[in-house]
Amino acid sequence: MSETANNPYILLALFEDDEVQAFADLLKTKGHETRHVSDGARAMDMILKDPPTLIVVDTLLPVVNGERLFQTLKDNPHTKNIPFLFISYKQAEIKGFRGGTDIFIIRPFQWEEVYGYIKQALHFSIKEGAKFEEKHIQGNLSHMPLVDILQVLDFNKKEGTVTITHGKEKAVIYVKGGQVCNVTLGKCEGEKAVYRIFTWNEGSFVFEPVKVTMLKKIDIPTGNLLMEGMRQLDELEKSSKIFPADSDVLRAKVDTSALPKGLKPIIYEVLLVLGTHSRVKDIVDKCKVPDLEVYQTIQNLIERKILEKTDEVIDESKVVEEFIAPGDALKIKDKVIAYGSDRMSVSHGYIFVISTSTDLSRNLMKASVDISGFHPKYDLLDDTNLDEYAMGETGHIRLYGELDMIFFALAPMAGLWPLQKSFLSHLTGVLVLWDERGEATLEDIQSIKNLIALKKDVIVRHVYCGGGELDDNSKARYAKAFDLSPSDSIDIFSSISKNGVVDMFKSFFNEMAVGTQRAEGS
Amino acid sequence: MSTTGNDIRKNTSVTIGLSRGAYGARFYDSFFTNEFAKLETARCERYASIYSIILIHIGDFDNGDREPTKRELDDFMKTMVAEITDVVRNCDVAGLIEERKILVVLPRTDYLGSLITIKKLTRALEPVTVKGHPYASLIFTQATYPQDAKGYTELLNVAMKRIEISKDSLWERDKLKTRLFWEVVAHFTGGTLNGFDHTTFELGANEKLGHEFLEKINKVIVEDVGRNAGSRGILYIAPPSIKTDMPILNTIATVGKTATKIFVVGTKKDPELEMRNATGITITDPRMSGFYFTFFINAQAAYAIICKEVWGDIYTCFHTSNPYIVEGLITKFQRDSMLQEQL
Repeated sequence: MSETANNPYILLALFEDDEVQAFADLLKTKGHETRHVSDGARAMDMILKDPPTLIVVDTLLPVVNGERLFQTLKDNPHTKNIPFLFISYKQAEIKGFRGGTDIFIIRPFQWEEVYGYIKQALHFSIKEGAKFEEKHIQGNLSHMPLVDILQVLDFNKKEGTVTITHGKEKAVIYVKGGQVCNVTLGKCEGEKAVYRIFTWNEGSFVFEPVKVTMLKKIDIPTGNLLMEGMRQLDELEKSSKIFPADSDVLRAKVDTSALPKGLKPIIYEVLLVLGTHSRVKDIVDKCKVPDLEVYQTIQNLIERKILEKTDEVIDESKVVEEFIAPGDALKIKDKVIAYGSDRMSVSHGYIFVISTSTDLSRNLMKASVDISGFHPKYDLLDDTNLDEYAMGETGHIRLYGELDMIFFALAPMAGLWPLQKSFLSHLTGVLVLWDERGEATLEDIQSIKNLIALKKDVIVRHVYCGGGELDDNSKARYAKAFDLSPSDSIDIFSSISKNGVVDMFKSFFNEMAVGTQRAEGS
Repeated sequence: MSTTGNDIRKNTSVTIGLSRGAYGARFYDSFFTNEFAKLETARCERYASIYSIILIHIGDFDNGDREPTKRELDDFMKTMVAEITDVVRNCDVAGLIEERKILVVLPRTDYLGSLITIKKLTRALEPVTVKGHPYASLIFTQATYPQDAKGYTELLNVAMKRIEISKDSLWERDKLKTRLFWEVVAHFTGGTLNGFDHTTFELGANEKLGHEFLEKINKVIVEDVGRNAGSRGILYIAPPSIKTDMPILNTIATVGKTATKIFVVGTKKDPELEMRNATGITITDPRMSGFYFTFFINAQAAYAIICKEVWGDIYTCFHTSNPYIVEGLITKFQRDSMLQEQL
């Protein structure tokens, strides 16, 4: 951070009196102190003696112009982090302009908008010391605990990744400006993953100083994260004898739909997950909140006789491993990559789910929770969600190479095509879901398919969700409605039996990788 | 305008006396321009870089019924070329590649960068498009390597095709280029407009889609912005009202910092709120009341929806994914509301 004054102020290096007055009045009403100079020499002098938090400067400032002032100050270690707000009558190139920090505005301007920019500039000032290093750092947690590693990175405002290997588990911590922005550990990420890693006393780590483009999912400052992590670790150790064992299998003792509203969200999340996973370990894994909170909630529910342990034994061999080979996942990633996109920065692809009702998407997502890497959107799974047409993400599968394949629900209305078209760039496949109740919308769905086919060459799977087998007449009728060729198949999905969902998705992703069926095969 | 006049204007050659250097040292002939673009393509392929091209199509001349004189055409071209070479950077190359088509090659420029250059050119060429005599209708399109095509010829074909699409688009057909923002909004929400990439529909009580649909659209767009955090873009959301506990503000706050500039537009009636990852803008124009819109553009997508409260709880909505219309709406909104013109 720059060495700012004890009384922070904004410097107005402007020479038009009316403008100075207007800026001063605006900033004063917003609680900011200002000082004014009318030429570049005086500005330089004042800034070096008493650095401001922001410099508002006219590019045509007399004696030393705005650009020259900027060039000089950004090389000075005491002033290099001060953001500049350039004002001019026309667009100009400022050498060294720092996008995201400095601002350039052209007269005339709208004062509320300008203040918005000033607020942003004051909020996102550059953190000092973020430099790239050439050397990696590595070691073992037994010699240097994670807490120490993160403190060192925070103190030095480092950017990069810390990869920790603990037996068969591997975690990656993404650090930017010294702050932890995300952590991934197998299927979980965010704070949940961080607090799990704190329990590791052993494991090798490597810090690589690379540019981090990962989406920021942890907002807590590193210092607070460490304190909270230690607290959770202590609590878990103290309470481990009280909490149920990971291998315990639970069931609901009461009708959970009769529970009152207004309970903590974690309770609803645990009960929702219990609908598909009954082992304590699985519930803890699937819930998004940190483990301690999940264990505490489960214990609480057991004590209140809402849940109870059963004698059921879960067959471990039924746990599904990676359901798509890494090679196929990379082929899909190739299809997702838009022309010109950096392979490393592509993080997701879309699978449109066009369904004649939200129920069908919901049932399919519920049936898919056992697929390795699958994360449903639990609010969609909630049966009390009465949205007739879901829109947006309903779940995603994380594939090898950290590629998220997002199931993106679209309302089956051809009139909404402009909105649907906006998401085509990352599209790799389409799932069409219907049953007898939705036959009136099949024509609209076919229109949407045709429009997609005009723009993009993607795999389309047709999934009949009415339950039971289709007779020949029905098959013919639907094949005609969807303009299917004799070689195109219709998958059958039953929400009751849930059979074949895993195989259906495996085959769907395999087709995407290989690209054997085409949308226009219609 | 008579048919004869139109024929004359369409057939008027603009390449009178054109040779290298005829209009200035930095304006090139088709051979040089094409070769430069091919070299740039090879360079970008070698170094995994990007570049863009802008194609300017010189359309009809509006000069009454008579044919523009040679002198007038010469002056027209000189003015046009002078403005183009003044706007573009030293590293950019501009030249006439065929009758009525000027190509500008922009090294190391992405999609949004090329849109910004088009904006600058549009403004600089106003003397020959709306103010001068004769003045011509100009259509600007762009294409970016390798996003739109992997070779120069294909890239040029993409840009050419976009000119044809643009000529038939709502924006050109209904002459919206020269209208003010609110005139354009009134045009879009005043009737039923259905095309390949734009439609009109109703929202509200007793309709297939309720009011919450607009919130869903905004949420979905913001989430997509969050997923493409590194992609430059601009998003304006003008909701029916701004409240502290608005779901969209929470969604914007949780997506984190992105390269997309997000603006939440309100009126004087709305409270001033602290917004994370977004800038609040207040528009005092009374016409804002009763209209709600969302405008979004980035390298991968463009989307605009405008909703007008018709009566009771019903909105008439127009939405489009045509990037020219979306970019046009954003530019007009910025200009007419005295906001910073930026992408």
